Amino acid sequence: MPNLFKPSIILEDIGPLLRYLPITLGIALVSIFFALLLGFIVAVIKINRVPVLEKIAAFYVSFMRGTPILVQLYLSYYGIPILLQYINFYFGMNLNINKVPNVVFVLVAFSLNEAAYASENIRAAILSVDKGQREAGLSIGMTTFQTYMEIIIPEALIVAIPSLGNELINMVKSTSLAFVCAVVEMTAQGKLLASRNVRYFEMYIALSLIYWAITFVLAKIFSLIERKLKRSEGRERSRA
Amino acid sequence: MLNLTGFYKSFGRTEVLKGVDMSVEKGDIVGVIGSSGSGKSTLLRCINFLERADRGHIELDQVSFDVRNPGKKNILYMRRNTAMVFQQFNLFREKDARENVMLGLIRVQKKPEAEARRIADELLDKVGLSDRKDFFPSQLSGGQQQRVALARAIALDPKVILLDEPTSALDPEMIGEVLDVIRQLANEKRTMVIVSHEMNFIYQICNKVLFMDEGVVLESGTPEEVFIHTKEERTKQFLSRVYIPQETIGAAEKG
Repeated sequence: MPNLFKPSIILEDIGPLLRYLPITLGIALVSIFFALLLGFIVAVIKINRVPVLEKIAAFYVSFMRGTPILVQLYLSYYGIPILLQYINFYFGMNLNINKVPNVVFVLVAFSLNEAAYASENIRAAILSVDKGQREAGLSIGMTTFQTYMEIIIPEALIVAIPSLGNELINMVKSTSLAFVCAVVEMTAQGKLLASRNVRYFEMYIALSLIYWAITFVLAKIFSLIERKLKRSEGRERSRA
Repeated sequence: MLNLTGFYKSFGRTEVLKGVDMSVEKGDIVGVIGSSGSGKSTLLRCINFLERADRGHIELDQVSFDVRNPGKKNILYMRRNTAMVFQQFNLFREKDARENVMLGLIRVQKKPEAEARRIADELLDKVGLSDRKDFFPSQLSGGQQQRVALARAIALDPKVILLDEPTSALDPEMIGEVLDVIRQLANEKRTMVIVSHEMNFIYQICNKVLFMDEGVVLESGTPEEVFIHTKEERTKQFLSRVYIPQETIGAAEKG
């Protein structure tokens, strides 16, 4: 049985798969961008204990963390068209459901899911900044907003970067689920390609090698960013 | 110039300030003394609104308002015209010494970077840190950090400098270098309110002293009045525990 497994096919598979890498990375990056934005807002709501919104935020985070991402993708895929139809009906609008690209359902689900996790990390990072830093910022006459921008966020970022890096890596891997919303990214493309010669095993090895390489590079990039951000520590080392 | 009337503040059920009045004139150096928990620090923190007093009226130069609903503008006015020196220094830890001093000049006073840099360098020279300008707080000793904090405070040329136990977190051998800088500011007639346990220092540089006890100003006057011609029994008791007049130390050393 010499033909059951042919390693040479793995190499042949990698090229066509890489053409779909931009879609995979695109989904991950766009989702993480919106996730960080929303996650930050949720974190600030929780830290400042904004009435009503705080309860909504807690419910949202609990739901997102308590349900599988696969189910959330289906909810988005079937739910958003229904929502749009209701909007059309009640607000007399004429949104065309068929014109919504499938990738939107994926982005919505991933962004909302990731924001819930990110919000907890961001919250912890902001709270880890010594309150004396905030007081010093306010005492020199900066506004709360300036104090956040100049002092608190840069310091919190140093704390948050490692976990945010992990989340981006998880996100890249989760994009392989996008096929349930009929989006063809790398994994989906792999399946399509493999169905032609029925060399599924080789295809999945090729896929796993690519994912592995991406996450390896991302991890390196993030540890580089972390070192760059920690200005004070880098200097300490170089002087010692 | 700076007048506080009827300041009250509670944390939960604990009443920390129970009707404090304080009046500071331009050029005054006011020392606030008293045992821990008497409300000294809280009083300072209420002046620049790091804490919100529950009741009271505040006046700084032409601006005067009720602290119960100050409005953002008044809070910013108080913070921009007072400076705070903290017990724990609170330097911005991801900024070097020069950047710590420059930040307020650039972001609050909107000075051009070059000018802010010039002012910061000048002030760091003045506090004796010419060779530490690009050091981060974590690379500086406590005494050096507090001197940067003093430079940061005077950079904005505040009407009043508030010093909240500026030497309490320092090793004994570093206290002197910080007190020297504060003494220098006193000689320049900068208006200051100092909360401190350095009784001899307070006695030497202040022209007014307040003794606080359980949330009220129990006794106030010139240093001589409070330290030597003490009226209140409670003040005498406090001073007998913490204050050894310099002359006595000198005499003991000679004897």
